[in-house]
Amino acid sequence: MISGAVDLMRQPAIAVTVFDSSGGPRTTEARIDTGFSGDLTLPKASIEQLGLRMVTRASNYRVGSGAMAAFNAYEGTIRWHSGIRQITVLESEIFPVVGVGLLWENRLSIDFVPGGAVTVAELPELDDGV
Amino acid sequence: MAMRAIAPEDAEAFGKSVYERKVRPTLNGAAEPIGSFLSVDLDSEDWELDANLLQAARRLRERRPDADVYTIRIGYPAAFLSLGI
Repeated sequence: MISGAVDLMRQPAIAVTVFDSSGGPRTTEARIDTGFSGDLTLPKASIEQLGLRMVTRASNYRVGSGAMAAFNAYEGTIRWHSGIRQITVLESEIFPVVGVGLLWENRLSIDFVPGGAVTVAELPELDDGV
Repeated sequence: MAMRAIAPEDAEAFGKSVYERKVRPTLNGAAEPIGSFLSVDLDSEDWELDANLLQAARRLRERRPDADVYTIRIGYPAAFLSLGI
């Protein structure tokens, strides 16, 4: 289980460990946004420090305003629960954000009080027969 | 990698046109791959389709290391969605 806390701006946040191009772990605080469909966003400076490889450009459509913007997308490797996971990292200048892509097949729990507990737990394997 | 300046709306439209002209004819009547990611080289129109964005983009890059790769999501307005206003 991954643990975090609700921060001073009432945003749930967890620590995410991303590996740099030499395999060194670097941990960053990321806010959780269940309205974002991607895995993780990181500022350009962090992506450059990590030495991540760009694989494509892709757009984000903001449902609330209908605005469309293009982003560089990179391949990243993170620690996730007890394993290692390959993810797509979008370059964004805002605070690092974790989206639904990363949370998929997990259970997110948030206590919305100052400093409240945030937990991300793996769901049991889905039964293909159902 | 020579990347051309292209507006997101134009890149989405170009990706959709590659899907209609080059990908859809290969489906042979199979269901549309709604939700899958299509990576397109904006120069050669070469493409890769995969349920996973990274896999589609990586395969295209392996074949064309200098490709100007743009990725769209079939049936969606863009590869990524966010609820922000």
